[in-house]
Amino acid sequence: MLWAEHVARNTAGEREDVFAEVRREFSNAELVELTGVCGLFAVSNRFQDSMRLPIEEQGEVDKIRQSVRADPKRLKAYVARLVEHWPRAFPSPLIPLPGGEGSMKPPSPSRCRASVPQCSPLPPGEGLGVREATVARCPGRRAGDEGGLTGESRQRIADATSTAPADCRVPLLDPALATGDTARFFAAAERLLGSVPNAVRVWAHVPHVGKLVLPFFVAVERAGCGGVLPAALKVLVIARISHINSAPYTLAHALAVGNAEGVTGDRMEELSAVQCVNSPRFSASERAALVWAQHVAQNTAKHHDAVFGELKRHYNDAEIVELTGLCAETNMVNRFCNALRVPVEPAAELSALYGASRIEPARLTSYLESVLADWPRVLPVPDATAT
Amino acid sequence: MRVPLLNPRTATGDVARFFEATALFRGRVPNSACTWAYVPDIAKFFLLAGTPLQREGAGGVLSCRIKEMAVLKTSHANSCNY
Repeated sequence: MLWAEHVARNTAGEREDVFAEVRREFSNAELVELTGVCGLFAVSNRFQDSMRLPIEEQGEVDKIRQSVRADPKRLKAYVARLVEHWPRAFPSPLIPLPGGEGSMKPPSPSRCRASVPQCSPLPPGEGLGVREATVARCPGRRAGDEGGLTGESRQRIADATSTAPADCRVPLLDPALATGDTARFFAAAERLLGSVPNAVRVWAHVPHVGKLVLPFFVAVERAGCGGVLPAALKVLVIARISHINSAPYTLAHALAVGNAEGVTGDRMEELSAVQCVNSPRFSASERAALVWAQHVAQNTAKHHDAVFGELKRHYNDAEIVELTGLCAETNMVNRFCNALRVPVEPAAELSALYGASRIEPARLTSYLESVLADWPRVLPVPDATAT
Repeated sequence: MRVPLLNPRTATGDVARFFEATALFRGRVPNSACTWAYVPDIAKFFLLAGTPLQREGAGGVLSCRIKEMAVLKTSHANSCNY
């Protein structure tokens, strides 16, 4: 519980005494999973509080007791259902206005998927509405940047890496040596992402957990997976929160994605400072998102109506939900990687991971299909003798 | 509430499918799902990610007891009533 408290407070990375204590009691796999649980609730707590979710009636809450244990058959059926009902087209994010780096089209009645009133019917087969337009690349990208990190991005990543601790707290599993479920997880992850990042090599200690957690990270962080926010905005938010949480791993990845999206230079540099929320290098909508991100990171968003009001001027309800989810998820990844001291990959590997910031939906479907195809007959169970 | 909770009874399309899947899988549709449902294509993955971490029996190696203690401690640290 000491570990949980420190992961929640983002101090676990610094506390050798706390780590030594938890290390005595838990194996590598248990430690990775425990840190993941704590991280998950960094997401849930922040999302729920920022959105001011009401607590359900007691009868509904009591149902939780009945679902304490997951049914693996239901879980597999759920994954099968995801594949079966894969949408023909995903909604598209905002298209950046030409000629202005960072400028974003404000929501207008004609294009805005307005918050869905509880009782209004939606167009058949469309959910919240689907636009076929593809996302235009952010106009800031420089010629010659295609396919690799720019020198400037490499330097920023090197700077971020230099502050990262060298000693990962659990061994990074090696895809070349893995067997069984771990090997299958690595193979699926590599097909999805293009390579195997160090965070995946840590999650591989609990491959059945890692394989189900990975699609969420991809869907919320990357473009092309059904989100409604543009990739460039996501990069800014992830980078800002990673600065707030002093998270070199996530920051290095955000810089690499930013490079792929053409979000580089002074705009990325500014994100290291609290004053970035006042910078004219960001549009009004981006500044509103960055202020919100700061408050979600610090878990103070629930107290700030004016901050939410400003956010609402620029974003519709779906965008707000996704933005809040992204902020919350970034906090999870920050805490997970900080607590376990996941090392940053070399620049060349980051470049391979983020040659394009967008993940093709077909890759995600293919990933889920492989998860289904490789579903084990028997899942591991916890050690019943552990206290 | 910052955004209205979407109603599972009146949802259609991808949102309805997400609600159905949630109800089938969890036996209920919590308020958090009624909010995540604004982005159903992401919400479905959040549900998937949460299950092996929160619940025993989905391939994890930790017991429910340890997980629930971690959840309680984290939620206390974050002062999250929900």
